[in-house]
Amino acid sequence: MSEPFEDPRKTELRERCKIAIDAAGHGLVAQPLTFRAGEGLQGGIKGDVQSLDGDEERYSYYLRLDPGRAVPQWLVNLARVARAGQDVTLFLVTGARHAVLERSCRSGQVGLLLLTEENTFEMLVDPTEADADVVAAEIATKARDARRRMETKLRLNTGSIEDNYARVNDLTVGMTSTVRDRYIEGVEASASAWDEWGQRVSAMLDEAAANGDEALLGSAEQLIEEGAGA
Amino acid sequence: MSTEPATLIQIDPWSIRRNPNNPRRYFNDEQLDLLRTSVQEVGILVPLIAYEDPDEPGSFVLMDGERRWRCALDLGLDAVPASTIAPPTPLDNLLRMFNIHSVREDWPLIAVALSLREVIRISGEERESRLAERTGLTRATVRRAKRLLNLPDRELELIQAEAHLDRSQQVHREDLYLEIEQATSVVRGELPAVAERFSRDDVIRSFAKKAEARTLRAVTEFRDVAKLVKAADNDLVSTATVTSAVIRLIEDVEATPTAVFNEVAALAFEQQSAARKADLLRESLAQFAPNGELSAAFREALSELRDAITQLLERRG
Repeated sequence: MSEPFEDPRKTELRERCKIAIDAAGHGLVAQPLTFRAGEGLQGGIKGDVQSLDGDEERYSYYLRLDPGRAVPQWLVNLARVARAGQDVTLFLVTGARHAVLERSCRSGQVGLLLLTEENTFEMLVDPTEADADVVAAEIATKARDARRRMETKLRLNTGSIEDNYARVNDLTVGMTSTVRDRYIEGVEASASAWDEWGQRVSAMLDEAAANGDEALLGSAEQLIEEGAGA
Repeated sequence: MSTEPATLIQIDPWSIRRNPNNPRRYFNDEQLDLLRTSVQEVGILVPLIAYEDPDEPGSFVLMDGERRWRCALDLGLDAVPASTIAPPTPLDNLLRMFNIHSVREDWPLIAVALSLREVIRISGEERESRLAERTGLTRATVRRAKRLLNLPDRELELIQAEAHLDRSQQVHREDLYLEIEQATSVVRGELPAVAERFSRDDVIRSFAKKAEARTLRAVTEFRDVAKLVKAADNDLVSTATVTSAVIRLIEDVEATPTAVFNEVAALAFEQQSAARKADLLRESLAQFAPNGELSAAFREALSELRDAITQLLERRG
């Protein structure tokens, strides 16, 4: 299989992470295992890198390039599964400190390691520590429902745009080239607008669920209601 | 293109490889978070489209769904739903990449350009209108992509290497190179002494270095190069002066197009503009009858203008 493209910054973080694992006295796992998630979730816990400590305890590391983004829901889900009894401890690894990632990890009980300039780990969030601000189950459920509504809206709207794009040559028969170009630019602009809308709402829902932020959840729901055209 | 109906099957994502003709390999990792959460919680609802590699039975090549496939790998899915189709011809493969991916994935222009280069190579078609029809791109996009393809390979590689970054983090931006390409064409086309002394690749590289050294305020500064050359065309500044200024611009990484333009030609353009306004004013004044009455305010305005003109002419000797 040809490996998918990886951001060179992530490749660098991966290599530094391996050095830090070695410095921590862990052994690097050459062939990482996938731990089935269960709980109705697809896939499982694998991570970008895995290690084993002296007691053969397994650790899975997910590398995050942008510490200014809250921990996404899919990683919060995996961290919850890991805490619930999987034979693996999950950590996010970041190259820089940022309050957004740190706070959301603390709220979501997701382990967070800082990779220092000396290529060693500094634990910023211990996944075994219960936090007083653990996200309220009600908000997490609401955020999940809102996400489904957002995905449905996104799928319906981008689906029709893609259909139009796929039939662009039929739809533009008889148009002058200027009108045709304007039509295609309109289709492209709509597609971009919906894509950006989806990214924005998703990031808001991640942050709302991770931080138990009801106000942010309300703003995200408002955006879902309005759609990309607002 | 084959019209064989597609077959829906479950495939191990590790037996799939990306389509070599999909140049959209520059993914911003964290922008896939939305899709990862969706795939994890509800699965892949829209099947991938893939074809079995004729040279490697049991192995599949992706036609559509690279983002879903990447999420499946990240999430450790055992199998993904996929519609399998007959292997397309190389040209069909490329054209389908355009029609399936271009709008949905918002390809960067460099990705469009590299795919278009392959379409041109395989089909032999170079006409802008025909390429636009076949790929579903606008003619403007085809034109911009072709201009990008005029750049040296080294510069294309620099653009490619940063294509996955947010625009604010990119130095070798596509719009920078479109401006540079335009400025280079004007310089080499209009100033033979520059064309003799510097190759096209040298000029492009030296202009790109200004962005690398962060001496530019905006990529549109390169439009001042064309205005500078136009000053020689319009006999506002001598060709020798403009040539010397452009050579300095090429050789000195700290020299910016706007600074050089302001120094060499801005005043001449302002004088040209004032001369045009003077022509218009003269025509406007000619419509007043010699013995017609002039208001006091008008007389005062004309008098002030005359004083300003006299002062300027005397100062200039």
